[in-house]
Order: sequence, then structure tokens, then C-alpha cells
Amino acid sequence: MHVHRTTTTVPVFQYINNNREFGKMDTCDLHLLGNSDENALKLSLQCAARLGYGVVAIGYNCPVQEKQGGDKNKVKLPNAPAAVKLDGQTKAAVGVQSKGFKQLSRVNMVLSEGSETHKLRQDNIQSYDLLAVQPTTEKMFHMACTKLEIDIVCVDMTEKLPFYFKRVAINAAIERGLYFEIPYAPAIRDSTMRKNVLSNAMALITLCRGKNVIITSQATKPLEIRGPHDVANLGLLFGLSEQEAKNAVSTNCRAVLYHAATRRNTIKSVMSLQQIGDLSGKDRWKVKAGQEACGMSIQEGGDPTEDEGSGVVAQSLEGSEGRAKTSKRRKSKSKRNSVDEQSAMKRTRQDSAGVD
Amino acid sequence: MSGFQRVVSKDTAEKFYLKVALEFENPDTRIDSVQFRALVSKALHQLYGETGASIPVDILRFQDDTMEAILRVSGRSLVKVWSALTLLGEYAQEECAIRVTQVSPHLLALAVDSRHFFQNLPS
Repeated sequence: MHVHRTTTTVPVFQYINNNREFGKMDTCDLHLLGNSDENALKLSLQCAARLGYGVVAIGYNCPVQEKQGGDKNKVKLPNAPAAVKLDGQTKAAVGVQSKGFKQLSRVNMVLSEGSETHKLRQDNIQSYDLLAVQPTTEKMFHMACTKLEIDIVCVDMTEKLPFYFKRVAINAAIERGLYFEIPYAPAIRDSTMRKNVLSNAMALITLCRGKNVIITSQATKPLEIRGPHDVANLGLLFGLSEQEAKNAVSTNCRAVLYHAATRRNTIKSVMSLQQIGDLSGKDRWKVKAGQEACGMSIQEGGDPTEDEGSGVVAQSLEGSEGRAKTSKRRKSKSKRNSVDEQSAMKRTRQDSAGVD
Repeated sequence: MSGFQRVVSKDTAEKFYLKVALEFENPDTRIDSVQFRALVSKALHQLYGETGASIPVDILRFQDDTMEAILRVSGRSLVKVWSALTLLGEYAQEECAIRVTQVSPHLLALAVDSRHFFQNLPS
């Protein structure tokens, strides 16, 4: 297969596309508890939208598997649920602020032993936007920070930790672009949790020197959600500086989204594949250029309903930090697709796709 | 009176003004300004103890019908008061939330809300 090199910057992810147009950093809340009842979740989402969040991720816990059950009653992780529909009033309120509101799904895995990490290789996990791991032992914490292909490390801060954070592990996590999550809703719920959250958060922040921290809500009800500016102010309480606190609800969260996108949608973090039918109008030229480069005949008009419509365009993601391990099966499948359907494969340089 | 007068404040602001709105789980719950003062002092006390409760907070205005209030705190204790209000989750056995809508070193700035500017435009 011919691979053609150009030096054009091409927006890869839809999210980045949207953000460029508004030129304003979205604030994110990357953890609303999604296992609560649907109505409460809907109300929470609407509340978050009204408070001015641009991106909200709904966290689902992975079902715990019974030991003695065997393979028959194996609890399988369901696919990511669809986004919740918001009512017109909220949509109108978000609309006039001229900012979008984006819902993401995230899955939380509670892990305590190294032998449980096979759960991370389930196929369904790829259907969730974000992947978070909650380590319960020091060994697992170290492993999550240094080895696992995840986006967020969320230690249960509501209880006294059975281990201390180690600088080695945390430095490795920062190096790899993982982020640590600090929840604030438990601190609103009751006094004991508040003490634990505060002390754990402070311990974490001293060790990671304010880098790679995101503050999330973990709220179950609308009354437990606070506005982004209030949350940034809470960051000061946890020991972040003013800028770091702001980053913890905006820039860092965005970096998590980039990291997740690189982990999910790319082959070895180098290429991403996209159906030609899904391409926006201004990216169509890539197909044409790719076909020219491969020496194929150019179809006039570029009718997306033809065979060409199911082709695949690959984009390279040089400079991105996240390293995604895509299964061989998936890779070969996508390769086959692209060859069969005579799609143009093209490589473009993505200068700034990486985590900021 | 000749035209405008330009005021430049250097250094950190002496006072900060917060516009806050109080929300209860039951939307019909109403409290008066005296109870609101107790609520603010409870919030400070539960997060910062006696030293926190001694922080002077002036309630310039409290609207009973919308439960919106304007608070004045010294610049030094802004972070403390703000975080205490944020972490308040319950008053008189009822869940509540304080939404800080605006924070500014100038009282006049609270007249317009730039965060919700587009929302407040007449359509």
C-alpha cells in the first residue's frame, strides 16, 4: 500500500473541531454517577448543563463477577448507553450561551489484583469514551500508574487509604499522561467523607505537585453539583495554585479526552481510520489527494453513496502521547476493509493532536 | 460634574462581593434573612471551625422570594468563604446548595452578569 506524506494539519476528532470554532475552553465534569436512577441522572445532567459545563461524562461501574459462578453466569459489561435526552428548556439555555453540551460515557473498573486486568481487554470497553481504574491496593495502584492502558486513576478518596501514594508511581503516571481524579460531591455529603477527601486530595496534590489532577463531582443528585468556578475555587482548598485549579476543570480534562481518543480510535497511536461517508465536506479533499497519490482514477463528483462511501481514511497522529494498544484482529480487519473497497489511504501529519 | 472619573485599584482588592443563590431540595422551602445569616455562619463553622466562624461576612441584600443574596467579604478571606459556601450541603435537616453566580471586587459589576449575558438578553 502506498503511503503518502503531507504536512497538512487535519482535525481528527470531532470534539477538537467543535472547540476550535468557539475558541473558548470548555469546562468538564468527567464523573457523574450513572448507576443511580434515570430520572435523577437526567436532572443532574440538566443541572450541569445550566451551570455551564461543556462536557459531562457519566460513569458506569463495571458489574462485579461472582467467583463461584463460572462461565455460565458471567456478568458482561453492557455497551455504552446512549446519551440522555435533555428537555427543551435546558437546550435553549445552553444554546444561547453559544456553547455545546456534550455527554460522554465512562466505565470504572475496581481492581485489586494484577490477575484482574484481563477485564480491561473486554471488547465492550471500547464502546465507552473514557476508561477509569480504581485501584484498591498499593500493588494495583502502582500497576495502574505504570502499565495499564487507561485514562484516569480514581482512588476511592472517601475512605482512609490502605496505602500511601508513592512518588515513583505518580511520576510514571504523569509521564504517561494519566490523570488522577479528585471527587468533591462526597465532601458535600457528610463530614467524615469531607475529612477523608480533603486529606487524601492534599496528600495526592503534594506528591504530584499540582500536575495531572482533575476535579470531578461523582454526584448522584443535582444538588450535589457545583458550578465550574466554584469547583476551581475548591481546588485552592486542596492545595492547588489558582492556575492549576482552573486547569483541573478545563485543560486537564481536555487532555484526558485527547488521551482517551488516542487510546480508542487509533492504531498504535499513529493512525486513525474513518469512514469516508462520515467525513465532513472540508475533509473530502483527502480522499481525492489520496487516490491521486496511489495513481488511481479519480471519480468525478465524489458521490458518497457509491462504493467509495464506505472507504477508510487514515490519519496519523504524530506527536500524540497516548499509546493505544489496538488488538491485532481489529487492525487486520480495518486493513482488509480498506484494501477491499479500494479506498485511498493517506497519511497526514497531525501537529497538535497530542495531549497539551 | 465633568465626564467620567477613572478609578484604578492596584494591589489585591480590599473587598469582594459575591452574588449567591440558595437552592433547597424542596423548591417550596423559604428562609428569611436571619436564617440565611445563620446558614452562612454554619457553613463557615463546619469547614473552618471557630476561626472560620469569626470571619466577618456582610449580607448586603437578601431577597426572600428568589433567595438570592449579595455578600461582602474581605479579599483575604474570599477563598475561605467561597469554599465554605460551596461545601455546604445541608441546612436544618434539608439538603441545599448554594450557587455562586458572580464574584467581583466591585459591587457595581454585579448589576450585569457576563456569564449569563446571552441568557438575559430580551428575545
